Amino acid sequence: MSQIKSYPTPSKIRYRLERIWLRQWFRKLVLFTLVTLILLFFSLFVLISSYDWTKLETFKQNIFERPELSISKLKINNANSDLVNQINAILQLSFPINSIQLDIKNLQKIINNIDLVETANIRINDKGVLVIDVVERKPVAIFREADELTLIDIKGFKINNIFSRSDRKDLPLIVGIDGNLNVQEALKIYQILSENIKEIRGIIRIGKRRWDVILKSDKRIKLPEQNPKKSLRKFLNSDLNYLISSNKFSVIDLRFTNRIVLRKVTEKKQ
Amino acid sequence: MKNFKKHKEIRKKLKSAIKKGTLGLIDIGSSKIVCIIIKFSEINKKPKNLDQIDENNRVAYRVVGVATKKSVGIKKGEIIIAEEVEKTIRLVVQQSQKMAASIIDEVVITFSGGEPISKNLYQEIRTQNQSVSSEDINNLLSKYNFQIYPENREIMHAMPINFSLDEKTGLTDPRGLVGNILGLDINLVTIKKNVLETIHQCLQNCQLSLAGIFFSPYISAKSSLVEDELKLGAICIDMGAGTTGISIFYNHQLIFASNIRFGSENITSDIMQAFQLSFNEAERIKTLHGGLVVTNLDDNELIELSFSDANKEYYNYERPFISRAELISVIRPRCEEIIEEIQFSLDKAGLEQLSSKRIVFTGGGSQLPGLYELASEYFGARIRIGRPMRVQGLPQALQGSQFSAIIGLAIEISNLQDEVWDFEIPTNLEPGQRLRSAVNWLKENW
Repeated sequence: MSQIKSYPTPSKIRYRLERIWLRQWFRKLVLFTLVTLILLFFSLFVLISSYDWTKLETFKQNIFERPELSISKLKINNANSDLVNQINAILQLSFPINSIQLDIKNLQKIINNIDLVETANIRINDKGVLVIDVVERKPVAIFREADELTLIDIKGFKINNIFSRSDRKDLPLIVGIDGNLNVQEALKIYQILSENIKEIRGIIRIGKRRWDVILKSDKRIKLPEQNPKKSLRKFLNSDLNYLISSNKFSVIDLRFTNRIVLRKVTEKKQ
Repeated sequence: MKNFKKHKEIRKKLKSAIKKGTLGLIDIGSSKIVCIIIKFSEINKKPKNLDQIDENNRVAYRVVGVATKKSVGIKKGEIIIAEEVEKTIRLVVQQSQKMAASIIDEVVITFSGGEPISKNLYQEIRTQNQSVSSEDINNLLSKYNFQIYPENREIMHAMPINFSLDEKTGLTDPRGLVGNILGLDINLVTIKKNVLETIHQCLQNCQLSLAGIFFSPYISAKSSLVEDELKLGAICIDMGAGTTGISIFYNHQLIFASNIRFGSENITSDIMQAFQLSFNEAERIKTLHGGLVVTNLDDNELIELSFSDANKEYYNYERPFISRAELISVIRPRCEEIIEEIQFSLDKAGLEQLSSKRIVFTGGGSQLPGLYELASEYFGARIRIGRPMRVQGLPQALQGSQFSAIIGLAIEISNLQDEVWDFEIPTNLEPGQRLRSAVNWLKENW
């Protein structure tokens, strides 16, 4: 059968495609779609090139200037005047403003980024007033870090700087690395102490784990890592509490549960 | 009782294709595959300028697409490599579609393989009323037992060829005639079932559906025989490449069809062997210089052999020339063998009493010069080398006698021959009739 030599025939797919192409309905379909597409593009082109775009602009303005949509005023609730000024300065809104153009989510983000604000809720009421309900951060202590005095709230969040300790004499001072991370405990210790002693200078975080209390007479009370409040309370209630007012000792060490270690005032220091 | 469901479906497809307007015709031959696309104009309207025999009901059409390719994977008219044949059919269909600029879904096939057997059946019944009605014909058809033997054969044609009423015979349409006993001859052509199914499968893989299948000797006779020959009876011999088909017509009807598994390809292979040539070179020499009758001149006429093929070292270098007499001496014995075979199968069919002993040669092999002399020597009858009729729109290149089958197919489609499955055969008989037929069956068997 050496005679058999096959042809270079077109592939089966090509044969089928050619057959489809020869169908009248297919050709009509292609022609129809082509014509409609060309017409569509042409008409679109004509429309776009001939349209008066200023008309659209005025139409837009007409919509935006409807009284129902405009905001006339900004009202900030629960904020002191300082914060109100700060918010006004940051937002820089010029009223009247259109409510469609206003990106409320973005506004909320901006306001939440202000140090003094804990949370903010923004809404537009039916009288066309933009209301911002602010929950301020409350400074509960002063934190000193690298000669910089900062107000911190209960969660240790730094609110703003102050220049001098005497600006906020009502707040306790916390010092030391990571001292701002456990403000609640520091405040508790401070409270317990201040019931008995008035002359507290500050409270120091030592080695990121325990507290020292410094009194005005440079006296230091060293508190244990575990249960500092309990041991402090125990010490204060015991008959040894006179040691605090005594001048003979510079350090009262409460770190051990069953004894108190004292350090005498050295000659030099005296 | 066979109900011819498949045949009816195929016929329905053909009718719908004709109604749609385009139809593909494919001739699956041993040497070439031809596809032509014909477009029908108004049905049942007489064409104005058609060079065909005028007949009522002839459908006007013209050829709009033509493609011819050398066939690969076909031997003796049968498909032996389906994939190659599919490829060739696809190629041919694609090319003709391109030429016609339209698509074909239904194709009509003609081929010559499958070992065809032609036999005649005869049955008769009593007419119900005085005159013959179409109901009588249907009842008559239902009496036939189209049991094919052996089982692996399929009916290709079942043509009612001759009605007889009482002592009168040779009727084509007995309806309305008065008589008692109505008889009918049916010519049954069966071929191998698997051959038919292979063609079915090939077409399906080419996304084409079969709308008809015709036996090629019958079809090529339709294009080669003229009106008188069809009427008075003639033998048509289609000399194809792989097979030689024989068909005998009488009174416009095919009464016998057969097939010899010898063809002009055998002549080519003889030349190949005798002169040690390649197939293509042998074919070229045969077609250009071949002949059957030797004259004195042929000894001096030298034919130059060309060894342009790639494997020319294999062939004999020392004889660049052969004489024509030599060539004829190779061709003639094989041709004589084919003619003897034809004679043998004609004798077997028992048709010596055919009144007009006219033999028409057609097909590619009939173009061999000298066939006329040789055949008339053997048959002693009136020989004619036939050329197919002209079909409107067919290019000049396709009007040779090797295209008689495809042209005959176009002619046949325009004027379809009635087959048994075109009639309404009553399948469900009345209860009484069923009982009677059972009794008849018992009578016959005991």
